[in-house]
Amino acid sequence: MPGGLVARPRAFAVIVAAFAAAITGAVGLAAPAWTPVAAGGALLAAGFAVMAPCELQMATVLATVVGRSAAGVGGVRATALRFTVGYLAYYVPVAIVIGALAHLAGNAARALAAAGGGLMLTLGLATLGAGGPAWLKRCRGPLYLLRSGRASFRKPLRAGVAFGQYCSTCCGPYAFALAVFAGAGRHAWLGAAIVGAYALLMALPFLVPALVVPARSSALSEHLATVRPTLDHSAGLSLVAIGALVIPISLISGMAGKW
Amino acid sequence: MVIDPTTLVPVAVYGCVYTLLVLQRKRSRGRVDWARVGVYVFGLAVIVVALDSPLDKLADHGSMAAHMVQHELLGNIAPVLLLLGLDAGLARPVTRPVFGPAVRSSRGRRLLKAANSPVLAVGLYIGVMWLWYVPSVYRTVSASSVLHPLGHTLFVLTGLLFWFHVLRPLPALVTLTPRQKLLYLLVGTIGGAMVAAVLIGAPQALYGASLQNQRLAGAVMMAVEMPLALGFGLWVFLRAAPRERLSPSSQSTEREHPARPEFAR
Repeated sequence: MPGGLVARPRAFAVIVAAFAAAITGAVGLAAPAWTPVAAGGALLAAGFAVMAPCELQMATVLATVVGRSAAGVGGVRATALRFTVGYLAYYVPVAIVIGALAHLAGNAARALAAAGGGLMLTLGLATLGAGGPAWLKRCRGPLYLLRSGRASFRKPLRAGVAFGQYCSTCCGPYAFALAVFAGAGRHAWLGAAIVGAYALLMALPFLVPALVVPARSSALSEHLATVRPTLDHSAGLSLVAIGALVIPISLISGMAGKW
Repeated sequence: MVIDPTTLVPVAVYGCVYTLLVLQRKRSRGRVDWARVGVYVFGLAVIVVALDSPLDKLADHGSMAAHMVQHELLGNIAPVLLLLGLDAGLARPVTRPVFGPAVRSSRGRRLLKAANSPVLAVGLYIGVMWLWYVPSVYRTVSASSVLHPLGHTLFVLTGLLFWFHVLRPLPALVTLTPRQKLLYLLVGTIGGAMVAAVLIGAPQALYGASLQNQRLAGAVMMAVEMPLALGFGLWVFLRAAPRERLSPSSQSTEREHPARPEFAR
């Protein structure tokens, strides 16, 4: 974890935003029709950075749920499947809402995407303890939902739903920006399909190992617990970066009128 | 289904060599990891499916999305499966006589080290992908009966080279640390994301297929590469975590403060 960036997340956000604005702005001025390529390239390239910490957090939660509720290889598989079903069950309506929102917002969708970027940035700063309203600081990941009793480690389906709630708050704005970039303004189903695919892509990397090598999955929870603070910092930093990226590219692409 | 000899011959050769290695292992050790064998065979089957199935016909008839599925199978899925099907002991009868003499000489060692460079691997992986998707190159290569199979071979080779550094099934002269592996995966993913962005966001059709089909191809690319990179990123991270925990300093700390998930208390 790059300690300097965690210590100065605001400066990091400014650098990322300036870089994204320079690239998108240059393309927007030189070849406005190609602005979506610059914007999409930045968003897709950032996908790994925004998804990886969440993926690891999801693995942490799943490993703990598996450790608490599953017995035997079959139990691990069933628990992982139930957790995934819960996660996707929450994300499907979210995908439909996001798709419809991108469609209904029309030209305002880019401004909404930029506002989503602002939300991500604020969440990221709050996670790193560098600002944001006090109530956001309590929403540090799926722990909040689990500790507050809204979900239980012993109920995989509900734990999956809880993780979906957490994930959609952070990654939802990113998924919305992706949907707008891919042309969700023209077809509502396209936006829903993109966000749904995003959720499925998030679920696959932790579900497949649990199905293929269940014995190892069940032994992970202790190992993962030791790296949780690193994961929280990584998630906060990636939220700051993506938020800072989404704001200028949404606004500049919007001004270029081609996104 | 009749398999094209240009696909069948190399696949059969690799299959035969692998079978000999497995038999040798069984003779010397008395046991074989059949799951690993199955993964390797599946990898060879993926190559056959990519090149000699209705998918190939669809791609030849101008479907860029089908072409992209083909490329993902050849450049990512098959290499990953083939590498997962190998291990150092199994491959030793081939690697020892082939690389042994080179490792023992300083010049050979330097050459092997250069060839084993992760920078070269990721550079070739991204470079071949970018070159292929230059519109004029794509159209020329796709129309050529010589260049097209060569391009597919290049995809498999660069895929093997790229994923070797992540999976590292055999001993290597250059080894990446877990953090370097994550960075390496990130660079590879960004390389693919750039191509996907062009395919999805370009204002017009660039490759002879319809704009819709071109966009679908970009989505297919991300749908395969993103979970692969995320999955293996997770794997790299999880493999590194226990090692960190088992270091002497962390062991003493753990005795004083037994590791328990904070949220499990």
